[in-house]
Amino acid sequence: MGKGGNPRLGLREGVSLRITARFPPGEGGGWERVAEALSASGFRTWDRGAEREGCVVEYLGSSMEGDEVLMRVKVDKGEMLDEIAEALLPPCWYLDIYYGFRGEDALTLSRKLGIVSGKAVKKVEGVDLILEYFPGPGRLVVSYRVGWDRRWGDRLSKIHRFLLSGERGKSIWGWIR
Amino acid sequence: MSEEYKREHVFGLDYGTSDFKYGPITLGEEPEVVENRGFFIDRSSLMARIMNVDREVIVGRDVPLYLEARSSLSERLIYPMRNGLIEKDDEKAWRVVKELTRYALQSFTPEGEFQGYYAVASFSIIAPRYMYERFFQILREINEERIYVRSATIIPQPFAVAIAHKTPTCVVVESGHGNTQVCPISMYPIRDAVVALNRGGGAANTLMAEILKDAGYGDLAKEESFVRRVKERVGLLPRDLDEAIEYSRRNPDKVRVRFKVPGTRVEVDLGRMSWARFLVGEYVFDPRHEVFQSYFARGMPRPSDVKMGDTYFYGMMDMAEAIVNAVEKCSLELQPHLYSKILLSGGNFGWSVPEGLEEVAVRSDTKIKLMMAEKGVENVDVRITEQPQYSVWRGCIVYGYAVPVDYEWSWERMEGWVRIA
Repeated sequence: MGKGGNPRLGLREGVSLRITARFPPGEGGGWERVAEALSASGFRTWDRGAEREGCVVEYLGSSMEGDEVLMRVKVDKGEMLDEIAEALLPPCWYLDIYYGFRGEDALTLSRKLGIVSGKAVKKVEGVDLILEYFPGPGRLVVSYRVGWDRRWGDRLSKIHRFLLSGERGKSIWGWIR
Repeated sequence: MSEEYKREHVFGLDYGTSDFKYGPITLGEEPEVVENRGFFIDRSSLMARIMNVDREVIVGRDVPLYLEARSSLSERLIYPMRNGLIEKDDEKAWRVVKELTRYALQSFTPEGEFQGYYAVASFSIIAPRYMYERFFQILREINEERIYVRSATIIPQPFAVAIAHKTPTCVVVESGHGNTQVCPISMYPIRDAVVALNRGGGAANTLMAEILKDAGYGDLAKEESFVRRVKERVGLLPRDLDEAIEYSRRNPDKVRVRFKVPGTRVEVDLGRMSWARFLVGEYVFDPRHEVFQSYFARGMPRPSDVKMGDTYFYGMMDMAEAIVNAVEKCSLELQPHLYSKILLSGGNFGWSVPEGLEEVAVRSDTKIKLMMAEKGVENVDVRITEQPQYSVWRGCIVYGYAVPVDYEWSWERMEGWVRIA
């Protein structure tokens, strides 16, 4: 994705997004169960992935018991994250969302979030984001947990927008409008 | 230690022949990359004492800051895994591995309730048992400072690629800087069928340097990093070398390329030598074409057959022949399944096709298909892994994520976790 300024805030080079989906204790099912839930929500699925409206979920791996599934997600618009959560909670117990930032993106966002190194927690949209900044390699990891114990509505897309454009309506990267 | 803790603290370490890729699972798609090398400082020198340099070995991004005269580099700048192997008593090489490993783990040591990573390292498929033993020992030594590693395991690089692509039956061709490993896999690597080539991206660099000399850039051709950049920008893989050379003669302007080195005033223009762009890719896949003889005759080293440990590295065998040889060491029943899935991994397969040259230039997967067809092997499915230089690291992460925390290491099966802390 070029730096042309995507108003829908898709992921770009330098930012990665992973989701781990965890089933309730004692339950398994692996990728097949996740794919089934996504399919019921309008995703086209295949043996190692699913796609809907430009959002691609790629299956990377799972635990031996099949109780947790690791996925890579590419989104053109953050709203699709709300759709994924809606589709997977339940059958999943919770989802862990991981954003990986590197280079300039990591530096700029870590400054914005006020983290120099190490770990910190910041509340955004009522959700505790765990921030971990490694200044040597210049990597920032932002993660949070999405459980089935509350209604998430459009919180995921709002957090996505916050991370990729700073506070809403206020860009931390000049090229994003 | 809980399974949940392990899944969040998997750390991949890919010891390539040229680059070392490392980082925890949370990084996402791309690991950190530094050169797999270390520079030994002469600590007795006056300047080292004045500047208060307290380290003996420099690794990572700081290496260029300490490089001294070119003449001292060969003995003090050590690439420990140039061939994928380290001799048992090569203490300098092991020292570099230790420092690089420490550097990688320190870079990503979290604060707070950290009880060590679950480290998954990846070595060449031909790495002998003593390398495994020594590596586990190194992790224990590093852990004496503080706990960086909870448990560790090691997997062969081609196996990591197969894991990353969820392909239990396949042939993985992993081609890095120093060598190429061809490894059939049927659930596990079939070690008796591995074929290794003494040729990788480094061989293409050597040829690129000769081409640059012929084009009048002899002074710049001495710098390997420069040559590598030119190769990556200028080098092409021909569909058929003779046809590509003929095409270049008929269409010199289409093939001509200029490359300006970013941040410098240097611009490379191969001019009438632009046809030689096609030699660079061909040399990696098949160095037996007669056109290469003139380079050998002028002193360019011919890739030689060498024996390292128990493994022969073939110098001049073409890549398709290496694949066929490896597959034919497997059972007849398995062979069609192996041909049906060939995965190309490693930075040496990243050849691109510039617009307008689709007629004569190809990607690595097409080239292998054509070469296999010439040998009478049809119906092959050849795929280049996505971002092939990171495939092994990604496989390490997926493997560590899946292997249960209580699955202990077995020397018989060479799998499981070795408790380090």
